[in-house]
Amino acid sequence: MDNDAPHIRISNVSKHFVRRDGTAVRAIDGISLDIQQGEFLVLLGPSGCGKTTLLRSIAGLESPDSGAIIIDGQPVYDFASGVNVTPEKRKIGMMFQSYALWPHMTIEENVKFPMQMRGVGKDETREKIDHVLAMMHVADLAQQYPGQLSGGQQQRVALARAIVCSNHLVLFDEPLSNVDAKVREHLRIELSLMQRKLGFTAIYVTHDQEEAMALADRVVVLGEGKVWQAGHPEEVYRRPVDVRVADFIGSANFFRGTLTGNGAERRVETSLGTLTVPENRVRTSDRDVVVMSRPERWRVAAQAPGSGEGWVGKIAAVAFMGPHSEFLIEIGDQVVRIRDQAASVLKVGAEVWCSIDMADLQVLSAQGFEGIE
Amino acid sequence: MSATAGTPAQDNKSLIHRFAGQALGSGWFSIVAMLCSVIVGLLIIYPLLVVTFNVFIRDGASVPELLHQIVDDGLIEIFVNTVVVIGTSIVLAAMIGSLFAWLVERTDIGMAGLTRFLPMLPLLVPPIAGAIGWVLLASPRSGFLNQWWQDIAGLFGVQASNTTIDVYNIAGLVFVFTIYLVPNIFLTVSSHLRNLDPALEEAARISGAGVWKTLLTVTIPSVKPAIFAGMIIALIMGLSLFSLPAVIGTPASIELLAVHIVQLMIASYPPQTGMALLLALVLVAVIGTASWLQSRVLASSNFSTIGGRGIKVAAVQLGGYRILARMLLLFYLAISSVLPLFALVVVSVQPFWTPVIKVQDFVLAHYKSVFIDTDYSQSAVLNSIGLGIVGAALGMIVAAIIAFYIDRNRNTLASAAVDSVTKLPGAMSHLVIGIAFVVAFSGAPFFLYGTMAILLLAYIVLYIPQATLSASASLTQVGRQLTEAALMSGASQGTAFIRITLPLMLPGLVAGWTLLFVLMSGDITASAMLAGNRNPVVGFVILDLWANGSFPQLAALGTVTTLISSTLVLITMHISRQSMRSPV
Repeated sequence: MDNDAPHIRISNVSKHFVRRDGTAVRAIDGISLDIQQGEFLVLLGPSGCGKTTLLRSIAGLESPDSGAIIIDGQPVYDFASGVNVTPEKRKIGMMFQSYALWPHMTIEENVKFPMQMRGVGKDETREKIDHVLAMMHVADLAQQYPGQLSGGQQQRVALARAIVCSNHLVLFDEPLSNVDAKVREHLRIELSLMQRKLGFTAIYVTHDQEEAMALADRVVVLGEGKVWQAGHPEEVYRRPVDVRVADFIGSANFFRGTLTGNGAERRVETSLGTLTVPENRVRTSDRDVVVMSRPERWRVAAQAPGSGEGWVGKIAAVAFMGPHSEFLIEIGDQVVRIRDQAASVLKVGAEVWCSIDMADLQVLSAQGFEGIE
Repeated sequence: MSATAGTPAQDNKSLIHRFAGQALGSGWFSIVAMLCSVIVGLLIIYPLLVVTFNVFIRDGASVPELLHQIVDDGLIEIFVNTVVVIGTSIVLAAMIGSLFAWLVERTDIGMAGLTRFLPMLPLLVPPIAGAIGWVLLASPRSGFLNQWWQDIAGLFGVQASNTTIDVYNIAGLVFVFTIYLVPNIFLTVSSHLRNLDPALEEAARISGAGVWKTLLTVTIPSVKPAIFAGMIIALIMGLSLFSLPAVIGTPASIELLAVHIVQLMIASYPPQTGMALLLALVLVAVIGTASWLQSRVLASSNFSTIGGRGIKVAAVQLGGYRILARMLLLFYLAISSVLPLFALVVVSVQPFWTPVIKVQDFVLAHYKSVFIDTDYSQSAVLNSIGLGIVGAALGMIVAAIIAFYIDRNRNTLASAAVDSVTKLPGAMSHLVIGIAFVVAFSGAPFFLYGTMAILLLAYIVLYIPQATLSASASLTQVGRQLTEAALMSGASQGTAFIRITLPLMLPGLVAGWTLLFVLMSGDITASAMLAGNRNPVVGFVILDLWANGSFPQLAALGTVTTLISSTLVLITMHISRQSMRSPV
């Protein structure tokens, strides 16, 4: 295979549903994406953003209304030429939210099924089953039924079934959303290790941003059927392109302001005074802007910081969260949320100094801001 | 420029794509499914077209003339009777059924072992058996209740008349109708109560409303749409119930529409098909309007339901009323099943029907005469059982295939068409389908009159809505992801169905089969028109015995029918409870 060609190319795919009351909803609206061989891509977004529809369209369980989907250079869906390959012929592995292990079949029968369907020879089947079950550490469970397995074991069997006969592409439909937090973290690490070891391409749908950050080579933030932002998790988190992404991912402080000046240092007039922001932190040419900052980039101290720069505020609320404390601090008429490890001695009502590096600010267009607050 | 606005040509292509591309594109299974759907569709639509054509076009029956005839023949009285009897019964059933639903779902009445049989009652004791049972209980002079009443009154030295209780009048008819409509209301209301977030009522209690105030201001308004929906189902059931008015109404000279329609078809020669069809179409119009109203009510009402199961509702403490509530429920169970069945059994072993029970005189002669000596009734029983087994099996297989096909190809025109056609018999009166089958299949080119085939086909068509309903319910229980996982593993739709979905649906399909067996083997309405001396079935023989006044034989046949159907239903209930309890 040509290494430069993307494993999967999605071009301009749309799909609409018709609601009961007759109005049409665009579940996905002209999405284009290239996914590279071996990439772990996470589709992240609030419920109803179209991420599941997009995943199911790749699987063939849903038929888009327009556009094209190409896997390994072969079109599996192409509106223009009328191609629509049925899911069973796409050779894709898929892990479902419920794992969807067939309760009337043993673990071995579950894993064997895809190979039977694709006409794999008996010897090869035997060999592959042994191999994949051993790899997933479930070889000793081969003769048991899914109902007898723990959640973690079920997940490994589901993954074994998904990868055993797929074309190096595995789709994940929120597979960790049904387990509790502690198990989820464990399974997440296991899944991540497995993907790196086996090198398959993964497309993973979730609404859990922590999960997305932990797993993804690249996060695609979807909203209202469109791609809002795609990029490395850190980039999406630290450098969101607009207020919608900033608001959806993590928590953020927003200050309204007016952008002035040009050159390497731009100035923003805000209720906290004039902020001087490096040019590469400005993502808009609008005058009407919002300055975004992440709570953990702020510092709180009882004394003025060495640089002498900062704001004096009053602690309105404080919550001890374990690794850090979370402060709500009133600076003028603005409330700032700050996460800091320090200063458990700081109490409600105390006057404190708050500071942040100007490079940790992000200046975004104020468009769409009203919808957020 | 957005690429999503398709040109007309593209839209056309996608339309064809949606219809044929998906429907026919995925192998042999789609062909089988389409074939099943087409055959069932033809079986439903063809007779309706033929009967409409024959009556209104070929024979030139004119609607105004028929309407005139309705007035001339004094049929207005029949309409009045129907409206009064069914209307009153529905209102009574709504009150009783809702009360029971509330008692069972929301209070500490307990008796869970008994209350779960309540919705199954019409299957446990078929309406025809119940009706005959009540004739035996409450006939003037020879009814058991009259005898008991005399005996009790005699203890107090009062000379009571032996005609105190009389089932042969409007009140008697309403009474028996009400018994059989209560389960419909109970089922809809209790399932809505179960899904209604109990927090709504708890919030009312916390806010200071007492039990009664909560019931009146929160619970009842919340389930009002469900009560209404239940009443509409009861209306559809009530209009189609032929056995109750035939058994109780006819001797009382209270003719209801359903009975009159059947009489037009079987008691007059040549059959007055035109008039029968017109009257049946009136029923269809009423049922159609009612179904439409029901869907509107259910769509507009905003039920707030709970997502997760197993939420324990704090039961309302009935206190001193608990005994009363339990008595009420037991009383209903007694009059709806225990008493009529008791009467049937007793009369079936008496030498002749008498209100005085003498155990030493009991004989099994009537069973021998019905099941062994008389070829006619013996073959009727065997025919009914055979038709029930085969018809229910065919119906469930076809329904399972169709349900799977519709679910897998949602949003395609083909599946929408199949879906609505299979629901059609539910909106038709059984009477219309019976008439249509007589007209379409009796003579040329099929010549199916007096054959088992015409009964089998009619039964399948009549009960295909119930079959698809229970098939899709068991499909829902399997869950879509298990099937999708099979598709993603490379299984075609057909293979996924046979290897994965069908084995998992099996418990639900078996339950559905039982339901169909009971309905088909006990069918009266279509059998009255389609069966004859050459192809007798139980329903037909019962009507025959009834016309001859052979009560002991009737009781024997009724007892056996009830026993077979309740045994099957109880076994199925037991199995499905077991499979629910133990995780697979």
